[in-house]
Amino acid sequence: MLHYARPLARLVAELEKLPGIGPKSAQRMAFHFLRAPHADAERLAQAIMEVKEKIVFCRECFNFADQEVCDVCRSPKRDGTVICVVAEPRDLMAIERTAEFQGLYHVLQGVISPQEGIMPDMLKIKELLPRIQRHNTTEIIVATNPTVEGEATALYLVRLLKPLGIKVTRIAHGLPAGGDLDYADQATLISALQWRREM
Amino acid sequence: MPAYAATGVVLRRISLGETDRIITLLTREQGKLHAVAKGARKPGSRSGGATELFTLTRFMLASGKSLEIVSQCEVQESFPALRADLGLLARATYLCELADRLTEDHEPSPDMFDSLVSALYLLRRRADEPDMVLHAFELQLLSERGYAPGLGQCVTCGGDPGAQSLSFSPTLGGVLCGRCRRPMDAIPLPVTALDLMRRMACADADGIVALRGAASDLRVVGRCMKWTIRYRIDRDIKSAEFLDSLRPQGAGPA
Repeated sequence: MLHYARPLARLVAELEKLPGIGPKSAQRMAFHFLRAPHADAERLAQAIMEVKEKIVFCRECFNFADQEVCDVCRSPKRDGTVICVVAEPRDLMAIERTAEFQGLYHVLQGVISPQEGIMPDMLKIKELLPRIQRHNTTEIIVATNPTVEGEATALYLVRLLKPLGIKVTRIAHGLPAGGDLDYADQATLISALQWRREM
Repeated sequence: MPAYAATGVVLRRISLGETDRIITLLTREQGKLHAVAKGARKPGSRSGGATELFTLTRFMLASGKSLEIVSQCEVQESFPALRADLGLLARATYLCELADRLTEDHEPSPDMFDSLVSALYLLRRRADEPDMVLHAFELQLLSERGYAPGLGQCVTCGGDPGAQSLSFSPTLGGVLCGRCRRPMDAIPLPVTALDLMRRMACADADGIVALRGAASDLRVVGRCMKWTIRYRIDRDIKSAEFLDSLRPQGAGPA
C-alpha cells in the first residue's frame, strides 16, 4: 500500500539513501521541504546540482576544487617547502580550520588497507613525488589517522621518501584536549609519553 | 542474555554509520564473534583504541539480535611495536585475516586464540626474521583446523621421503618423495626446508624464538604455505598481497 503521494514517496526514498538517515528522519525532512518556501527547496536542489557539475579534484593536491587548481594550491602565500599529506579532503578541511598550517596539502584519497585490498598504487602517492621536486619540498607532514591503516600509510611514505633525503614527520598522537588521563587507553598513553615535549 | 566478559583479539573492523564500528573478535572461550562498538570512531572515544586491529582487549559484551554489543572494553595489549614497523604491521594484519578466514563463528578455539596471541608477541621478538613466526603460525593454524601438511612420510606412497628430489604438493597436502614427485603442482623442497617446516610445526614460543634456517629455505616454506592456504580456503588472503609487495624482489613466496 502506498502511504504517501507518489512524488513524496520518491523524495522520502531518495533522502533515505543519505548517510545516517533512516526512514523517520527521511520522512521528517521530506515534510520540511513540503512546508518550506519554494525558493528554499529550489536553492537546495540547485546547490546539489552545482556540486555535482562544478566540483572536480584539484590536479595538484587532489582536494575538492571548483577550478582545475584549488584555492590553497593557487595561493601565493602558501609555502610549498612543507606539504601535509592527508587521507581525505575532509581531513584537509579539519586542518585548514585551525588556521595554523601555511604549507600545501596532498590528499591521498584513501589509506593503505591490506585487509580491504587497498594497495599503495590505488592512492595518489606517486603523484606526490613530482610535487616534491617542483616545490623543493623539504618536509612532508603525514597527517593520517592513528589507526592501523593510517600508520601503514605513514610508514609506507617514510619508506618511500626517506631515501630521497626528505624529512618526514608525523602529527603527534596522545590525549585529546580536555581529555581524562584515567580514561585513556594503553596505546594512547604510550603515544602521549613517547611524543612528550620539553616545557 | 546478561552481559558477559570476553578477552579477544580484533581481527577485522568495518565502519558503521557515522561513529560506530562492527568488529570481528577472536576470543578464547566463545570463538569468533561480531560485535558493534557504538561511538568507537568518535574522537576521544574510550573504545577507539580498544577496537583497533590486532589489539588484545577485554570486553564486556551483551548479546544483541544479530550482533554482540560492546558495553565496556579495556586494552590488555595494543602491540605498539607492531604498529611502528611496516613489515611487522603487515604481518600482524595478515595473521588476523588468516585467523578470520580459518575460523567459524561461535566455535570456541582456545588453541587458535593462544597461537594468535603468541604469534603477535613473537613478531616483536623475532623482528630479525618475522617470517619464522609467520610460517610457524600458518603451520600451527592449519594443524588446528585439521589441515596439517603431512611432513613425516610421503603423502602418496607413505614411505620415508628420504633426502633427495623432495617436493611439496599443496593439493595432496604434504611432502612427496623423489619417486612420487608430481611435476604439475609440486614445489621443489630441499631437505633443509623440510626440516625447518617440521621444527616450525611443533615449536612452542621459545622454540620459535630459537628457530634458525637459511633465507632460501624460509622462502620455500613460505611458498608451500601460501599455496596450501590458497588451496584450503579457496580464496586469496588480501593482506598477503600487500605483505608480498614489501618484500625485496624475488624474496617473497612466489
